[in-house]
Amino acid sequence: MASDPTSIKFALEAAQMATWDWDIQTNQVEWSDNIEVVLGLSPGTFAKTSAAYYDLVYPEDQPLLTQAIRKALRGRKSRYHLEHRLRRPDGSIRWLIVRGKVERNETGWATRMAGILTDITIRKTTELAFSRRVTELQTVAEVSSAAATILDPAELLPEVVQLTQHRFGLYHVHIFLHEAENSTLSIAACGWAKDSPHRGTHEKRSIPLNHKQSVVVQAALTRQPVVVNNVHTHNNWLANPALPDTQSELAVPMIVGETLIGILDAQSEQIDYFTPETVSVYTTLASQIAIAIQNARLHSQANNTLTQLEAAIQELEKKNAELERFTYTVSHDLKSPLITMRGFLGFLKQDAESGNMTRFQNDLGRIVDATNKMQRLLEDLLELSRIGRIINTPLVIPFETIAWEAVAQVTGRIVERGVQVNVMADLPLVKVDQQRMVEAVQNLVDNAAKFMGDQPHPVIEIGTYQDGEKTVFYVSDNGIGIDPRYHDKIFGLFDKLDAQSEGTGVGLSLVKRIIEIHGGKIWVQSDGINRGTRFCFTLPAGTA
Amino acid sequence: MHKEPTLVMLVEDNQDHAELVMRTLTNHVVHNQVIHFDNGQIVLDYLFEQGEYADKPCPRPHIILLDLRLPRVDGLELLKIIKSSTTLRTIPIVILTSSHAERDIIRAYDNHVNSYLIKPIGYDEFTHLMKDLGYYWLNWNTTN
Repeated sequence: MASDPTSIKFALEAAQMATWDWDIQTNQVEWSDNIEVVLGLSPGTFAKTSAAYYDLVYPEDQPLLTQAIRKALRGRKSRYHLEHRLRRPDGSIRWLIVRGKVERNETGWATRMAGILTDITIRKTTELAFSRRVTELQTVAEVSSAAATILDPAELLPEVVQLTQHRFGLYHVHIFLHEAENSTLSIAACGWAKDSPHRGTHEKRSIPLNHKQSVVVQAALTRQPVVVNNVHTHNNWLANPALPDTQSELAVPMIVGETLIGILDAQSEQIDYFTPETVSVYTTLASQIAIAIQNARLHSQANNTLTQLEAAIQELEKKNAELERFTYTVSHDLKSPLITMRGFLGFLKQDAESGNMTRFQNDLGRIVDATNKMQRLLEDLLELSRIGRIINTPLVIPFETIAWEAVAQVTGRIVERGVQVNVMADLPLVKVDQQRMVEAVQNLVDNAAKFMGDQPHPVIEIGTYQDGEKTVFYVSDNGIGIDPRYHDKIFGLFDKLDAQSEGTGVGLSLVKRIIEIHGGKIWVQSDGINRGTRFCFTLPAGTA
Repeated sequence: MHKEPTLVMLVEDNQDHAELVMRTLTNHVVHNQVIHFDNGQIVLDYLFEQGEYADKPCPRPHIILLDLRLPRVDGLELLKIIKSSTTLRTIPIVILTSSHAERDIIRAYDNHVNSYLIKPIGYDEFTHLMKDLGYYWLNWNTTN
């Protein structure tokens, strides 16, 4: 039965196989009658020569064919085997498998090749689709793992874009994030176009949601994937000049629960690249990315809250320590005059009994001084408690104004000690509570005038100097100076370097507090006794 | 008991309190002499015979009454310095302060203070304390 030509022909046709027989010496090819059927050509259109066959071979595969034949002719093997593509006149592509045998003469030269060819397009398409599917699933897995490990969206999104673009062999991938507050989609990450000098930079960084022509916007509004399989035949497709080779596009919404996080946008250089199966893969990918973004946002929110809480706790601890110091000092310093008053009242009684009127007057004087001291302390404390908050709205004013106002407040002492006051011209603008700042500078000027010692030419200078980017304000004098050992101590509440000097010791803590509530810092410079003193401080710059 | 006059060093920046202490102490205790300083630095100069006391006679006090809050070098610092000195640490130091803050009390004892007294408010109480202090530290207590 096998030798019956009609049954062989029947079997070939049933198996959709055709035979070929090539006489190499004459270059004549004989084909079975069903060759045009197997190749899917219209009857009578195939010239049945080797050249006609070669012309049908897909251009990229022609070198494969040439190489395979050359190998068969020159080699020693008697088997011939090649899978290649065919391009039909209508442009469609078919896959063929061609098998055969080589016959050689006694000298080893090939004289004849013959065999069968079969259309394997269906198998090949399935195989390719399968391998593409595997790649896609691998990419989804990789993206998921990136999403699970990278918590910073700024790092995650570029990584996802790169992975997607390279694994899928796409032309370009974008991730847009939805900004609900201004109804736009903004590019958050972007793979670069091949050979593009832009490398991912785009002039248009965000698309308003009312821009309905955009595929990306359509996906956002419908919350469904939008596929454009051929951008040239699509109505109103919006071309991006930076991406001239786009042939098809897919925009997939990234959604968590009810919330639109953004859009994953993929562009291919092939027409019909995005099949329904691919779309479902991209949808999975998009939801993975959406969850990752949501996680990252929650994580960073939690972190921010934690940082804020930690800062608040630290601030409270600082305030508490300050309050403890404050109550301690206050209780101590308020008790002092009380001890004096009660003690000397006892002496007063003795003096009256003994009739010692000189001592009586002296002791009475001490009691009066102590009550005055207590009153001053209470007033200063009240003042200090007031500056815990800024009373007046900060204003932008030239520091010069503050300096002169402060000097005017202490004219009495300045004139009395014959102090010369220089205020630098063109001092910068500052943004401060004017009344408070005048009070601070006034205290510094008053201090400077107070501690001139026996300086014959007392001079106070108010000005600024630059320390890098920083403008440092200063009030300096050529008075008695401060021993470097006490530079930190002088700002403490009620701390005085000289027990006999006037004042309650609140002045410099008041100044420090005023500077600090303005966000500035204060420190003192002095080379020591009789070398003058310079109080330096920083302030927020006033922007005109 | 001391036969010769006892030397009391009073370190107190508040002139009124110094006057209070000196008057009540001499009212009740005989045979003593009080030397008064109003800041910590000068006490160090005296005790270590340096600065303005470099060339002056500085008789060693039998007891030091020390206020805590002092200008320049404060009481606790002074206490620490004296108690770290092998030559001076045997001088009894009594803190006499208006502070009843726990941390002051603890820090004073941590630095080997011999006694911690809080200045009472009220003439009778103050006088009473000074009388007891005088009897105890200047009569009963023995120092080298």
